[in-house]
Amino acid sequence: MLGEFLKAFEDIMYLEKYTESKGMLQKINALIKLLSLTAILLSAVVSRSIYSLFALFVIVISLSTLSRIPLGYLLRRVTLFIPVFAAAIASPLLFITPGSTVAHINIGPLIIQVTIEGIEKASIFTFRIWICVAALNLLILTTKFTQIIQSMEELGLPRIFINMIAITYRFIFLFINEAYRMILAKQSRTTRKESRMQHLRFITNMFSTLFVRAYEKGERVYSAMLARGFNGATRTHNHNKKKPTDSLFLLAVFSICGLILSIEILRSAGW
Amino acid sequence: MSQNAVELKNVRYVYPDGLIALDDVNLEITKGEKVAIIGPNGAGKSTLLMNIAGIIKPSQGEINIFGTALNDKNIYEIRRKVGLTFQNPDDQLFCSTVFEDVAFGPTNQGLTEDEVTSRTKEALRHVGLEGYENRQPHHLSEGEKKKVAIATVLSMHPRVLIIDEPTANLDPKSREELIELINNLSREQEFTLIVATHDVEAVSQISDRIFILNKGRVVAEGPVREVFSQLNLLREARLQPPTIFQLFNRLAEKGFAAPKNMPLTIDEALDEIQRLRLKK
Repeated sequence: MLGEFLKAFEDIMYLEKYTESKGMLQKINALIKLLSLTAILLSAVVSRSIYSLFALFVIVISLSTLSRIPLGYLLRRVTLFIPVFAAAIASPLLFITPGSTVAHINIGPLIIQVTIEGIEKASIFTFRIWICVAALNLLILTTKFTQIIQSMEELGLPRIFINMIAITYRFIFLFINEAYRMILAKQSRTTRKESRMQHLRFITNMFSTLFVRAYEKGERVYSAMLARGFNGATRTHNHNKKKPTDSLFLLAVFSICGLILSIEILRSAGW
Repeated sequence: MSQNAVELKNVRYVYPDGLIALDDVNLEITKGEKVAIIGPNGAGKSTLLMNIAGIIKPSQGEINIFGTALNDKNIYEIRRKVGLTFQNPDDQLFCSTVFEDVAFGPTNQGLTEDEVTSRTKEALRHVGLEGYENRQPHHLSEGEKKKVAIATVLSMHPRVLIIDEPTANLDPKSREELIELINNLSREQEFTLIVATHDVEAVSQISDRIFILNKGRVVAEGPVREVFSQLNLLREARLQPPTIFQLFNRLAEKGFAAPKNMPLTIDEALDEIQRLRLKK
């Protein structure tokens, strides 16, 4: 079970199939894409009204279709992450938001009320997260990881931060495989059903071993970097060129997001 | 100026936990020479290589690279001259594409973008992986990873090429390809080659001279055939000569005429058998 989850996670992280298709987003410069999708993400975060969110949802879905990413695939990918965030964070909203009660749950002497306002808040919250995760997925699905890293460099993000992301991306794969091998090795020697406690003990052991191995690997990788003349400063050459259509795309996304944001601001100001 | 590419004088290396990995190691490797360092697991081979490449500093003794003593000031210059390929390619390949990994060294040397690109393409061509530029290292086979790892060093145009366990973890075909690659490289380019391995079968194919390292000490050195003849020494170092060599030794023990040059490879053995048949 744990092993399968790790493998699925690996597929999600490393799939670059759609970066090769000739869709709309694939043709857009990586930096422009990073900026526009961040704009969509931020707009989703600040939007309070369902209409604004719905507009953003339409944008995300259209971009996905124009980029030749099967809708079902995007839905599945995004929905995989949703329960983790949404269920944990949004579900309390169901109960703690005051308003007209639609249902109540009795736990012993305790009565928990579910309100219409609560349902509304929780759904908007989940919807908002869905759009954010979908926007992020569009970026990952249509852009090669190296280009994302180069765009971060162009944006002038701190070197150490970019290095950390790049190296994490490269090595998380190795550690997933390492963990997967440990799980298989353990399963091959498990001949009867074990208690939850035993399983938990195995997982903690596995993680502590992984930490030690990660540390040792870090040392070796650093040596390999030194061997090739690394002295702390990383240098790269960027190959991402911008076209006029890129600017047009950025302008379009920024205008729409700007419009949504202005409406949101006006609404909250009481208009 | 000295003719030695690498020279170690009384080198001792002690790990922080007190383990003596190298003890009084002396060796001289001349320019353009192809040598192999063989020894059992834990003999100190990798530690020795890292010392030569200037990754770690010896606790005692002196290391000279092309006549220059290695010190803190010239460390980057030395690393530019001495290229080290690690045993596990996953330690060496840490970028997200093959291109970036191969370009890492030359980029660090401060070369222009055009130079870096041409060197990267050239290095990939040398290892037979043209067109792999945009592949991701974690999607490659073990044999391909090893080749890319060698390319990451070739692109720096080293004068000494060090390869740690080139044939470990490879299937027979990949192993054969890698041996051929190393031979082609050392034929085409004028570098000094140092290979650490316990693949004794490969040693005779890629090197002229060998050093046996055991428990941190050099216990034997000399031409390949000569060293493999010292069976007791090999046994002490938990090594064995190549199978063909053993076979002819056993034949000699059984009274067959021992050839003057004991064959090390299948080709040499075939020649020898042919010769015997003609004699008859």
